Amino acid sequence: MSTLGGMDAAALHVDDVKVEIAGRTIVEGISLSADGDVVGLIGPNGSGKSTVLRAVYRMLRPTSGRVTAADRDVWESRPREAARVTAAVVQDGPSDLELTVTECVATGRIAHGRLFGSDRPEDVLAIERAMRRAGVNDLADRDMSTLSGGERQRVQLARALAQEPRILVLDEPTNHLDIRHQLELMALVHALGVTTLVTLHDLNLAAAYCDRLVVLSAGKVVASGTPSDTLTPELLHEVFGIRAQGITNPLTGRLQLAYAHEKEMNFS
Amino acid sequence: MTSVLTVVPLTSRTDHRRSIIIVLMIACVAAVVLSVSIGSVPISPDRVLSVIADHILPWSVSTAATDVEARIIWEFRLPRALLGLVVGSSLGVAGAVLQAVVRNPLADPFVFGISSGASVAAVATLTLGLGVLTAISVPVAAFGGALATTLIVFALAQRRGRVTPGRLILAGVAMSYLLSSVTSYLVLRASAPGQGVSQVLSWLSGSLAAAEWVDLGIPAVVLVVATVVLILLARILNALLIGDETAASLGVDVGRFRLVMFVITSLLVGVAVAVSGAIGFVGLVVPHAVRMIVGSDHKWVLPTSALAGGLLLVVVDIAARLIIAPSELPVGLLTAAIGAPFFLWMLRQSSKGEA
Repeated sequence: MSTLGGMDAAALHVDDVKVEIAGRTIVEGISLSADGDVVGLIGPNGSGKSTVLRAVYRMLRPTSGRVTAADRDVWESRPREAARVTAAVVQDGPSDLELTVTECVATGRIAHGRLFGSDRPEDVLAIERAMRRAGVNDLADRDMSTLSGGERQRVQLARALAQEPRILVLDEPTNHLDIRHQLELMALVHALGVTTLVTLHDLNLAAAYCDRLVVLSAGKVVASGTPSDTLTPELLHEVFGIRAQGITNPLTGRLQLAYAHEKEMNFS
Repeated sequence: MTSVLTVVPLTSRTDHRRSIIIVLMIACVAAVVLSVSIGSVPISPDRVLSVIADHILPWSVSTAATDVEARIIWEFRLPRALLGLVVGSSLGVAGAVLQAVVRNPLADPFVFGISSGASVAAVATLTLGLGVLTAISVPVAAFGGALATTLIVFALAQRRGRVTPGRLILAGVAMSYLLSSVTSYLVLRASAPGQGVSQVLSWLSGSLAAAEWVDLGIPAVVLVVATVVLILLARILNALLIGDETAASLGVDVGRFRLVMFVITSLLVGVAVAVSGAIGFVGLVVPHAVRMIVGSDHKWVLPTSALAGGLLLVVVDIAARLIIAPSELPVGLLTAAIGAPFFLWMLRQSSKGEA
């Protein structure tokens, strides 16, 4: 991979993956692909979105099926090899983390640096560049515990970018962010040009910033395609139990959803 | 160690951290010299230094110390001070690592029952006559006892893959009680008239009094090797602070790494307990104080905890010898007197955070 400019994308394939936890099937028959685009994984709570991601970033080994990243089986690779291709921003960063921003971002070099030993110049460079890209270079010496939720999330993104990944996995990256930071973060992710698999609760963010969507329900893929193909009133009724209709956002020209609870009356 | 410490990118704290390390090194040397010069026969620090110099320098150094003084220094007091330094360092480092891998500032080898596990195994080896070469078999048994206890406590504290601070402490305290009673039983069972029960009891509550040069070798080697390895793995310890999921995504085999860390801390605690008994709370207090000064990057936490732990134990041992002079208190009694209130204070802080 080039050490100079941006990052190049690699293909991610999830092929017929099944995950069981303590004998219970959490997800089954999951197949999806992403290559240089932003793929959103949506579905109600408990539909298995995070489980699919865990199988990709090597947290939860699938019971059957294959996950390949850059043409290599993720679960046959060594952890460090896999982490040189795929980086993840997950939801376990504690709010009282005592590390400084730079120390946190520097953990992104674990997979690249020699296992023992100190930073090489390219490690230092990757850390600085990742912090600039995520817009946290001004926070370098701040303690993580003093940052706002939005700043913390950008630091975690910088930490993932320091891995120089070709595939990025994001689990609810906009959680707890105010609306401006939600939009900024998604715009930043979209502009990275890295293959991205992202779970989102907010269907409008999914519609606006994902190139393609994969819809999960009860541990199975029920639809996939472009946002306008997948976010149909029928599917949203069936999967999320809401009434919804696609409209055009007058400011951006992109797809947006107007939705209402099933029981809500139309007063117009 | 310097080659590891010199390349730290982008941090303005680096200089300040480096000077703290140097100050602590000087303080450790001063504390050792002070510890050697204090006792029923006071010996001035310059005589102490000249006797030490005479022994370690290849040429002979003129000294004003008498032969008796020279023997007191070299055969009794210096090994004791150095053992305090090594044991304190080991406990400081072990505490810092435990606190990172279980992501809990209340972690401590003593609180978790690890020291008790090491004690049981060491006492069993001595009283049941299992060991032939006690200089080797006791530390090895203590290491085994420490590791087994660590794994049991961690397994007990786990529930659906999650470790909660409360469960961890309860499991540690329960194991600690259980193992202490086993140790008492072993001691009482073995104590036929004439055997040195009081000596065993003094060792059990943590004491450096019986230190000899032969006791120093294994703990010193374990300390140096373990600390260097740990400093080189500091960034992975930092990643564990963020979380298991993030660490896994960063390329860390979390389960295996945690196991390796348990083995290393058990080694540190086991060989320390084998020579000095269970000295509590050094591993709790030291890393916590250190993090307030140098931050939480383990590249700095580990060497600073080693130095501060050694310094603390040497100083507390001086106090243990002075408080009821001419007799002395077991040093473990004093560290518990300092550490237990600190532990309670921390427990209060952490339960505030959870509420």
